[in-house]
Amino acid sequence: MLFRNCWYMIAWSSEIGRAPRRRLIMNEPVALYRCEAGKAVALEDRCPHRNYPLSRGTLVGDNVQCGYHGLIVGTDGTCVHAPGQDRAPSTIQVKAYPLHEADGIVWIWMGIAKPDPALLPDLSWLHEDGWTPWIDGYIHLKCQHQLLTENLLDISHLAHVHKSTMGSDPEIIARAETSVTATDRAVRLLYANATQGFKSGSYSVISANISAQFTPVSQERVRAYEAGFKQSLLEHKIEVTGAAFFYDYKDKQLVGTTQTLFGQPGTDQHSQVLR
Amino acid sequence: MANPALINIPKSYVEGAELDIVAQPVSALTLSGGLTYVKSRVQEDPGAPFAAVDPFGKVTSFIGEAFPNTPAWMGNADAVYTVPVPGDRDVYFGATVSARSGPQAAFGEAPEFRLPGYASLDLRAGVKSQDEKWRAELWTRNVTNRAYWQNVYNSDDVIARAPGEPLTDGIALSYRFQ
Repeated sequence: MLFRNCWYMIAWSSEIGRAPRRRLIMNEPVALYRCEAGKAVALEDRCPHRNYPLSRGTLVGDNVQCGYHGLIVGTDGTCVHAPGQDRAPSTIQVKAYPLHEADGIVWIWMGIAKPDPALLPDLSWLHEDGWTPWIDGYIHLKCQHQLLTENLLDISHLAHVHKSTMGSDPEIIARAETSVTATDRAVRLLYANATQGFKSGSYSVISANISAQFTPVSQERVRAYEAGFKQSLLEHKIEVTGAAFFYDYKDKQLVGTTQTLFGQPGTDQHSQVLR
Repeated sequence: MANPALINIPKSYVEGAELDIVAQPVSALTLSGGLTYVKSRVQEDPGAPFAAVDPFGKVTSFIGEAFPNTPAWMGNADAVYTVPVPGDRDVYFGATVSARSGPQAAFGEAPEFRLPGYASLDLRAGVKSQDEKWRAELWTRNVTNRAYWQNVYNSDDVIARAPGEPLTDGIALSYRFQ
């Protein structure tokens, strides 16, 4: 969860159009398309009905229709139409991701916190005169993401590996001043949450000897409160996580015992146990 | 004659805490451990159509009792030592100790339904490719051959216990196709 509350570049503006496109980010498949007015939309790439990718569906106005059973999902991820039903089941929905489009780049917010536009870098200079014409495209590198970060920080290889394109005199590059500032924002995490959950009523599915064992139980409710932390120590050599929790149950469903058919047994009924 | 069945407990709570530590003092050695404490309590006895009866059919009260099969303490500790060998492979040796305290297997605090606390030691040694594509492992579980049982059941007037696995050795081969 540590790196979720950030903006990630998900596509160039030119890559998103009126045909839905799938892209995987932080292991979450995302369907991308544009509304008729041009606004970009990012939805969790699965139909809330049977999980078929929405990116393989077709656009109906500003909404996307699943290519499997024809459910239509709106730009906020809510189902707006289900074939054969008068009213759309609006409680079924998929995640809609906040997007920000600026300077030819579409940014996606993967976090649970409120998207913060102040965290976006200002890249308007990319379009200023004097720079090369705009380049876009997509290269899928099958490697560990850290290798790419290391490569981008490695200035001195430019003169040798890229000498026919952006590299220049090795001596000039070697003498250029570069500085890297480490921001250690990911070492500590504190959280607290309160949730309410329900377990619907049911009856035992185990085999039974008497019908009383199938007496149904009613709905269970839990109010759960949890607080926790995550902390790295000694330059990440030690990671400690901890949590404290309190669950308040109403009508919790647990295994008990049916009342007997023949009334109370005597106290000597505690018979010998085979070992 | 008494038989197990699902019942509603009108009011109950669980409180607890857990702590996990992963440490890598040197790159070859990874130590990890976890400890969980859970206090579960019934605050109100079940009402009709259910009743607070123990597995022998005796009417009692569950108030103040923990939930069945809910140990108060659970913990584990693991150490694994990994040595790279030529050919992009790793040889590794690992040991795990897991332990828990003994809960009741049923409401009513009958001594026949108390499960024992236990600790169990597992060992493993193997070789794997560094990209985790394949792995061959020799393992042995419950090295001390600790005898314990995991559950106690009742049905009519029969009580049955499910024992935990005795000392068990095995070989595991795995290959990831993707």
